[in-house]
Amino acid sequence: MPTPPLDDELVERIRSRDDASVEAFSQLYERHKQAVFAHAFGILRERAAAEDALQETFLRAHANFEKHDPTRPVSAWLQRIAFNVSMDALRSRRKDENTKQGLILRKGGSAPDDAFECARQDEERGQIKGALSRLPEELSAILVQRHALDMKNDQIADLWKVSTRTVTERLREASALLAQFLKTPGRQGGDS
Amino acid sequence: MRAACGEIAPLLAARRLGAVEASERKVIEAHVLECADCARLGEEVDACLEEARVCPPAPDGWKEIERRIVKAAAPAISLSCTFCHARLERPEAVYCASCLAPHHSECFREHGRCATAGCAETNLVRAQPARPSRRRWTPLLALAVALPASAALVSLELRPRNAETTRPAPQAPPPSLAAPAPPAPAPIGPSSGKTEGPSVAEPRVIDPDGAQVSTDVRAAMNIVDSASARDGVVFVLDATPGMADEPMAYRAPDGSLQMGSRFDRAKAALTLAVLSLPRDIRFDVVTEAGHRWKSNLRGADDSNKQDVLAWIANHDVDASAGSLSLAITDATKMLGGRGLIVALVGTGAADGTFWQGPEVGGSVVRVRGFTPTEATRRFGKRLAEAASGTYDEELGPVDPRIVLEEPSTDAVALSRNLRIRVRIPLGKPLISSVQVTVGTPGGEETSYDLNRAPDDPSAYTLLVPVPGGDKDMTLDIRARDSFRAVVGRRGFMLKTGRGTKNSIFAPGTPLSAVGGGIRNPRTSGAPVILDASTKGTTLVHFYSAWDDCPEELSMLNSLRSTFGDQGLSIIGVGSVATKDYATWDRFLTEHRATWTNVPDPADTIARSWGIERTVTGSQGTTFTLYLVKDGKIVLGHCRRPDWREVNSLADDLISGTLRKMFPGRR
Repeated sequence: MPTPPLDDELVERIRSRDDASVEAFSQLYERHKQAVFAHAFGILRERAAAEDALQETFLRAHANFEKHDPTRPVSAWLQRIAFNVSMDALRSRRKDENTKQGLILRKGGSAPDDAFECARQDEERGQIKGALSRLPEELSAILVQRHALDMKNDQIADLWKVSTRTVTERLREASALLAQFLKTPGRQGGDS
Repeated sequence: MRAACGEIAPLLAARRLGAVEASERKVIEAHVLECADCARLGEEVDACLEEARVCPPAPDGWKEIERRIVKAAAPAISLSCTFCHARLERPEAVYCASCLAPHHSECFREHGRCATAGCAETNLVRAQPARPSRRRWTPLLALAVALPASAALVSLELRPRNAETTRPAPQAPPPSLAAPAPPAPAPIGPSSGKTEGPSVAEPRVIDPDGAQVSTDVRAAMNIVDSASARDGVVFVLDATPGMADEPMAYRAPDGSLQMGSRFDRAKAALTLAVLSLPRDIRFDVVTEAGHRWKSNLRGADDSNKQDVLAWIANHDVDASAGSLSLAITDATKMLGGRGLIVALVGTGAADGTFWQGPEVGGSVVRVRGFTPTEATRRFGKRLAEAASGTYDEELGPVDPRIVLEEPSTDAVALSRNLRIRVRIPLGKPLISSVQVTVGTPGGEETSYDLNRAPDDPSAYTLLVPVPGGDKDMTLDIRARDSFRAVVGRRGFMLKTGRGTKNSIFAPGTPLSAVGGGIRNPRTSGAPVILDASTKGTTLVHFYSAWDDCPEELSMLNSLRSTFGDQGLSIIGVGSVATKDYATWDRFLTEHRATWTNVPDPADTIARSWGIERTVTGSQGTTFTLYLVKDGKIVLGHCRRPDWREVNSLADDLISGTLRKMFPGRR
């Protein structure tokens, strides 16, 4: 996709690091925040976490703007950062959850598939409702990238460092799971 | 051949995601057209995918990003407080006056001194904005402004208003007798170009009831102005050890500007007063320790003046026991119960909490305070009030006209913190810092340095905590120059936590004047349970929020157990709605408040007893009671106490009164 000229101008002003660079960066933020937020949201599936990731993405971008290759679209670069930030947050969250689960098990309690704990986790995560929320994070993220962000399969493949075929397979896998969740009544398939 | 539903369903979403081949798409669409179940599932899949469309992020996200970008760009060096080690923003920092270690203002105050190991400095300094020029003549300019102005003060003090005004000042010689040749007064500020007037020279007389400082041309030291002086004058000089403290800039009798203790300044004022005495007046000087210049009054001729000035100059503060009251009683005797007594006081009235007034007969007493302690100030005011005199306090060499903009001096209900804001129109070039000492009648004093207000270069402001409870407060505001000398000072009294003036009926008021007795509407026939004809002692307790006053009930229980068998009865009047009666009863039972409790949902009873809850406090924080004996009010209390003080309040105020009424009880 050709880079809009205005993005190039903004990038140039930001790289100059003069007084106007922050203003230019704010314009870049306004232009790309929706896409970055959606990207983070697709992976993290929590609004607050996605807001944090959005913020962190642009802070990292600002701090490392010299590393951006001006011949490549800045949007793709931001998406890459958002992806990395979101995956970091996701790993951190999983680590926390594993730790919590381990603690519960050591205390002799039940694992978090206990109904109450699951409901609580659903409440915590629950911004994407219904069957979508039951998808594994990676599949959900790819689905959001493809459907909500209108990214092409090769762009998604580039982001995830996988082949386009793998992307297609994962989309199909997501599709199958969605159908399964929707057909199966109760907690696994419907709203929690 | 029609595909099975189980094969189609997993691909329904994939079809929307572009993850199916063209051939698969045709099969899916053909199946969906024929199969109602899969068509419905397809609709659900579409709806589910729509949920993946994300609503926009929060609109104010950029602000935080911008803040962090700017912060990251700032230098990484920052201050941390020497005491608490937390980050310290530069505008908030104060510095040790000795080693310049940075502190939070609160931390320095809490620690009481510099927190640096080995540094015991107790003074702090603040960073001032850079001035455009730091030429050496800047302090001289300040002095040039200060000198003539203060001289104007001195000159007016010395200048009688009667015929003696024209009496030439003694010609030069011995410094002890030389009245200062007052320089021509110079204008200070835009409105002080006159030689006489409240802006510069008029002494300020503090209203005896402790209200605002007001102007009054009758200075304590202007002896000639007093008709009583014709019967003789006795000066009573406070020479207690505390008089050696509180150095402050003052105008010495020779006209020079000096720093001196309370005692130095009192001696200077006494010297000037003696010099101003007309020849036909007889006088003497005594100290609070009983030392006398002469055993009886002497004429104010030059010889006696020279002699007394030498006696004054050689006199120093005195550690021997004495009493201002005794010294003034002694002076009254010397004057035969007439004449004028001029007391120069600072710290002598350590007993000031309780009035032990001297016998003054028909003598008029004028009191001048020299940075007086609160007890001495109270003593001086009461003394002046009792003896038809005046009380005033010295001014610094310059009166920068301190104006208290906040709070209002008739503030009635204060929250936890109090915004103090003063304006000093003379301001910036002369005033380097402004300090406020917040005092309570109990003698607690806390000092704060005010910050320069961002919106007005001549204003200074600070948010200070209100000292416990609803005590009246004094604000003693001192403006200092760059040498930390006090160049202006003004005191204010804040009446806090009270209701409207005179809202509480005074002791001795008969209940017939109170506006109706108390009836209990919950008892059949609503009988009167307290009115002017009721005999015995009754404590009437008004409360507005019955669920937040267990301390009060506990205290009342204690009083009942102590005085109940002596005849003390208690009536509670609670502002409680009818619908809450059941809960109220439970609460009272739980707290053993088994005396008569009368509901007063519309505050009708409370208002008839002069209690306006809306001004005396908020949300039931007022502790309000009346002690009534034989149909007359003995004690009324309507204030916001600090709850920690409820017990001491019970001991000091109520129990103290009750013990007098029931002397058999300890």
